Amino acid sequence: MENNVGGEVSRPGAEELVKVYAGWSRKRLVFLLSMSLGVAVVSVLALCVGAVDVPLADTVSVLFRGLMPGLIAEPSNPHYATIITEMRAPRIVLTVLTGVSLGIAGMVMQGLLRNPLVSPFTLGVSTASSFGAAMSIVFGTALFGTAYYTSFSILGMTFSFSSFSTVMMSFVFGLCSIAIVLFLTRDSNVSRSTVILSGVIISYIFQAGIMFAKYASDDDQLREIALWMMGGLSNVTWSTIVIVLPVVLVCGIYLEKLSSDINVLSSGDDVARNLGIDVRKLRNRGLVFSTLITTVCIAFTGIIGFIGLMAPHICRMLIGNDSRYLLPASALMGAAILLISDTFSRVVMRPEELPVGIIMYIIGGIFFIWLVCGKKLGDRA
Amino acid sequence: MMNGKIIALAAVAVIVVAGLGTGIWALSNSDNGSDAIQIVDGSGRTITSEEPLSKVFTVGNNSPTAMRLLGLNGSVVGASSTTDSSVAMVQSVLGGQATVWKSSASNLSTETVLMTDADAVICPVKSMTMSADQQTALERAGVLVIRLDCNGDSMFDDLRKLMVLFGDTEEVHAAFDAYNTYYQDVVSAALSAAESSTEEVTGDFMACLVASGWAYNEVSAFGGLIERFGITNVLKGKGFDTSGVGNSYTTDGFREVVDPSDVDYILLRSDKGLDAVYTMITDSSVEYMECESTSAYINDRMYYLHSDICSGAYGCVAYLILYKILFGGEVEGFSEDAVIDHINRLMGTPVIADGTVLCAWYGSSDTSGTVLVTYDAP
Repeated sequence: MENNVGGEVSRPGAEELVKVYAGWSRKRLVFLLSMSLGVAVVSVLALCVGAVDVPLADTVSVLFRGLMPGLIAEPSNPHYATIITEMRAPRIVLTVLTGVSLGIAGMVMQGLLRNPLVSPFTLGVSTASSFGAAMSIVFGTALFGTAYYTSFSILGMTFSFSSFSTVMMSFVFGLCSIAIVLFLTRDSNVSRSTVILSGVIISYIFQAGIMFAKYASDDDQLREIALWMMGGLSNVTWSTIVIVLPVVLVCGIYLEKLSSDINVLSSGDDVARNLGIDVRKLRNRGLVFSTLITTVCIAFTGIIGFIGLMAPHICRMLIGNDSRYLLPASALMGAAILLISDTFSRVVMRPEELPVGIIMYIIGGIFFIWLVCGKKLGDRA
Repeated sequence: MMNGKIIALAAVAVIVVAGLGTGIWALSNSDNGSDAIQIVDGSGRTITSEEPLSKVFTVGNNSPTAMRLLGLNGSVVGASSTTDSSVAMVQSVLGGQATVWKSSASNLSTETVLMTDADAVICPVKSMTMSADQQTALERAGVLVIRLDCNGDSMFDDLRKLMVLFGDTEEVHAAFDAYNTYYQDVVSAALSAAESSTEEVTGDFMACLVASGWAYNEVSAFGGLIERFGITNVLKGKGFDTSGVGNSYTTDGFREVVDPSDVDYILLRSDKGLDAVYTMITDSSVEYMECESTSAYINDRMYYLHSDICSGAYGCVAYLILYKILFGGEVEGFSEDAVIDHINRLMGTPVIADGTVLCAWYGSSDTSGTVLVTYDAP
C-alpha cells in the first residue's frame, strides 16, 4: 500500500496500517454478528412452520411461558408445546450444528489441502458413512437378530436399536475412511494431491460395498438406504443433541485454534515449515478433527452435500481468506443455508417431508453453475 | 473405631431403607399396572395402554378395513395411504369422518399424526410402515405405535388384539364373531368340498407376486393356503428364501433347483388387472420362471388371481376360486359373488367393484388370457 503525495511515494505508517486492519476486522466482526442474528431469526421462524403451522404467538408462548407464566397465555392447542419443544426445537438445533460442522470441515479441508474443491466428501467420508449405514440396514437383522427391532433406554433417553446401530456403523466407517487415507499417505513426502487421490480411491471402494448392500437388500431396505443417502433431519431427539453438541463444540474450538496456522499454510508448505509449523502434523490433526465433526453429524442426518463446498466459497467472496474469520463465517453460513433448506423441505410437500439432501443438491448445483458462469464472464472481461 | 462402626451401621440402615423403599415402590407400581391393557404386537413388542383406545391413526389399507369389520371405524381420526385410489377406498371404508392423507408412511410428518389427537397409530409390521425413528418420536409425544398387519396369516389374531385394545366391548365382540364365523364357514365349505371330491388333484404349483417377481415358498401365507387343497409348493425344501417370499434366484440358479416340467400349476397374484399380467409374466421381472417350458404353460394351467381375494378381509374368496380351478365346480352354499357382496356390505363400500376380474387362465393355447371369474354385483 503506497501513497503518492506531491509526486513523492510514501509508505503508510504503522498507525495507518493498524487503522486499516482494525477497519477490516470490524467489518468482519459485523458480518459475523449479522450472520449470527440471521441464523437466530431464521431459527425462530423455522419453529413456526412445518407440516403443521404454529402461530408466532403460540410459539412465543411455548418458548417463554415457563419463564413468565402470569404474563403469557397458554398456547391455543396443547399439541403445539410437544411439536415445538420435542419435535422442532431439537431438529433445528441439530440443523444448526450440522450446518456449522459441514461449513467448518469444508473450510478447514480446503485450507489444509489448498484446493477449493475439497470437502469432507472428497476424502471418502460420506461414502464410507453411507457404507456403514447400508450395512446396518441390510445386515442388521442377521447381525443382531430380533433385538434389531427393539428399543432401549439410557439415562431416560430412548433409542431404537436399529437407528442406534445405523448411527454407530456410519460413524465408525466415516472415521475409518480418514484413518485409511492417513495410513496410505503416512510418508512425509506425500503431496497434497496424493491425499485427495487416496480419498477418491477409498470412496470408490466403499461405493462398491454400498452397491453390494443394495444388491443384497429387499425393497424396504433399498428404500431405507436411498432415504438415508438423501439426508434428512426428521425425528431428531434431544438425546441426539446431547451426543453431537459436545463433539461439535470441542472440534470447532480446536479447529479455530488451528486457523492461524492454516493462514500460514496458504503461503505454501515450505514457507509454513520455515516459519516453524509441522505441516504434516497440522494437516493430519486438521483432517482428523474435520472428519470427526462431520461424521458425528452425518451419522444422524445421512448425507447432506454441498454445504462444505458452498459455505466457505460464499464467505471467501464476502470477507476474504483470513481463516480466523473464515472459519466462524463458514460455520454460520452453513447453518443458515441448511436451516433455510430444511425449512423449505418441511413445507414444500406437506404433510410429507422431502429429504433435505435433494434441496441441497439443487441449491448446490445452481450455485456452482452461477459460479462457473460468473468466472467465465470475469475471464472475458 | 467407634465412629467407623457408626458409619457402617448408618450405611447398612440407609441400604435397608432404600431397598425397602424400592420394593414398596415397585409393588405399588405393579398394583397400579394390573388394570392396564396389554398385547404383544406383530413386531413382538408388548404394548401397554392404561385405558382402552378411543382414537387411532391408521397406516395403509388393511388396518382401516380391520377397524371397519369390528365396527370401530368411527374411532379412526386420521389415516394415510399411498395412492389416489387407495386413499379413496380408505376414506369410504372409514365412512368419511377421518382425514386421509396421501403419503407413504415413512415420509409422513409425525406432527401431522400428533395433531389428529390420536392415542395410537396402527401400522403394518415391516413393509410400507413407519420407521423406528418415527415410532420413537411419536411414543415420546405419548402416542402408542402398534404394529399389526391385519392381513394374511395373522389377520384374525390381529383383529382379536384390536378388540382387546378397544376395551373388548360386546358390540365389537359381536361384529368379530359374525365376520369370523362367516369367513370360517366359507373356508370350511371349500375345503370340505375338495376333500369329498371324486376328482384327484395332485402335482406341484408355483405361486408368484407378479409385480415384484417374488415367488411364495412353503412358509408364506399364500403358499400355505394353496397347499391346503393337496397340491405341493414346488419350492418346498429348496431353501428358496426364508422370509416366505423371495426373488433372489437368477434364471440359471432357479433352474438348478426346480425342473420346469415339475411345475404343474402357476398362480399369478396381482392387482394390476388382466391386461397387464401377461406383459408382466413375459417381462424380466419373473423371467426366472421360464414359464414357457413349464407343464403349467403347456397344459394351460397358469392362473391369474386378483390380489384382493388372496388375503385380508376377502381372503376366503380365494378358497372358492381355488376349488373352481383345481376341482372344476362350485362350492355348495357359497358363490364368489355372494361372498364378496356380503363382505362389501360389511365394509360399507364396494371395496371390490362390480365387474372386477377375479381369475383368468393363460397357457400355450391362449397367451393373452381368458376370464374365468368376474365379480357381478347382485
